[in-house]
Amino acid sequence: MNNHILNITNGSFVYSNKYILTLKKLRLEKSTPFSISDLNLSLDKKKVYGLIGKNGSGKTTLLKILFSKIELQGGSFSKSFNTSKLVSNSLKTYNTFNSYEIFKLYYLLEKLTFDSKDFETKINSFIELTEFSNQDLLKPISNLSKGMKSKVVFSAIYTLLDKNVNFLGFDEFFTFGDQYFRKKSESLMLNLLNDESTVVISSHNFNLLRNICNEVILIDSGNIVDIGKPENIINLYRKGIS
Amino acid sequence: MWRKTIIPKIYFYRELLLISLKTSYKGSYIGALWIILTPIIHILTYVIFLVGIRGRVDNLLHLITSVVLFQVIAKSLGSAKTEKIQNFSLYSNTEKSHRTMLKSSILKNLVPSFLVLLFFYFLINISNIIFNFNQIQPIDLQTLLIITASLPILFIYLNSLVVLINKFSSNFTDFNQALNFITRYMLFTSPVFWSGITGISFVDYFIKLTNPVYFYFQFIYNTINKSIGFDFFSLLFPSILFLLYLRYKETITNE
Repeated sequence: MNNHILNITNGSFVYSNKYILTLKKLRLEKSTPFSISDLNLSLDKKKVYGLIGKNGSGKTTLLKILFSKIELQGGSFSKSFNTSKLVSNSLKTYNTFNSYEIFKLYYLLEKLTFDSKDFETKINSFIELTEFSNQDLLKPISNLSKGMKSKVVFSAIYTLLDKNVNFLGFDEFFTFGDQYFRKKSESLMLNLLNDESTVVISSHNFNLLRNICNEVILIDSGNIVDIGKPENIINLYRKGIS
Repeated sequence: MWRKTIIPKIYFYRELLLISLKTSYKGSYIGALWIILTPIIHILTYVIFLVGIRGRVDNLLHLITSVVLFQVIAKSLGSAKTEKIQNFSLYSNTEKSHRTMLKSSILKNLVPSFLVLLFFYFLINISNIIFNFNQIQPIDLQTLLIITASLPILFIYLNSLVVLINKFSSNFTDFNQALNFITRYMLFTSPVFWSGITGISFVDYFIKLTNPVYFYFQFIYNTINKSIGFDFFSLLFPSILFLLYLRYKETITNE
């Protein structure tokens, strides 16, 4: 256990409201609810893990279990980290707000207190990262393009992220903006990871996984199929698709 | 100690309130003027309605107070069902951030409405002095102080209600529909019943059971009335709600 940051044995979880729908005689019928069963997983300290699988295979559910966003209904769960953070690429924003107001609201809700000096330094690094002019900053978010919106969200997440977090998760995170900004966001995030933290990345970007992961986890229909070196697991996943 | 803890908290709520207010009235030509215009239109509607039916308005003070307060409550309950924090993965403590967002949705209704209430009380007192308009009972300083002091109680009460609604409304559609009905009923009855006297104990009892404005207003009214003193009964229901809030507040989620 000393070398493990997290250990799950015989874990199980069943969604009470998420059913797999099947089409029978032109009618959708509820069949079994989506579940994860017999989950055995140990994550080592100071390692970077990748998580791959088809859409709906349970990647996000597994991440939520690892980061205690949802609780296991059976089995045992033990952890040895103090701070954890799961960031996902959800682009929902407040449409009437402008970028400045969005950042301010994010800042207030994250810090739950207000220090004007700290806010000033944070907003300056936010503006630097987005490369927005004053005009862009004051435009309502609904008037911005999808790429620019994602820039705002990424920059806010990056600026407000606690840099000393022990256990970090990314849920299909690196898909922001244009090619240039995507590369920039990837390198920024990777520079940020210190050697002490354990990271789990759920992604379909195989190049990224090959470059930075120590191990990759393949998941299918709520079950872990295999864990191993990135190249082997990615090949296994590709064979499964073809 | 207080410099490190209380002052940043005050600044925090001030900033949250300003940003919520600023964005609420964005895109409207007269902006924050709606805060005062809406209760005026409401009060006028009820005055015309009551004069038409009864030929008089018995207690304008009750009417104004209940119209303004019911607006706070109806708006807060309305936002309770829909207010969700977005990009929740951003926050270290999602539950606390979500509860803060709900608090700000109450504050942005409560604070301006209290200022509007003060404005009306001031207007009544001034018009009493200038025009010697003795039809309306003036507000004395003691009453005003009690109303101000009881605002935190209203805030705690509303906060408990809003958090509990937010917790349960996503699971029960029936609950949502019932809530819609109660809000509309409350919206219609509060100003009418308090501006006149129902005199029917059953109706009074029904209002007591369902109407949050009652607990707040009756608490002030009974407490001011020296023969009753501090009215514990009116605080019974808000206290139960507050206990329920303490029980469930950690379990509210954003999904």
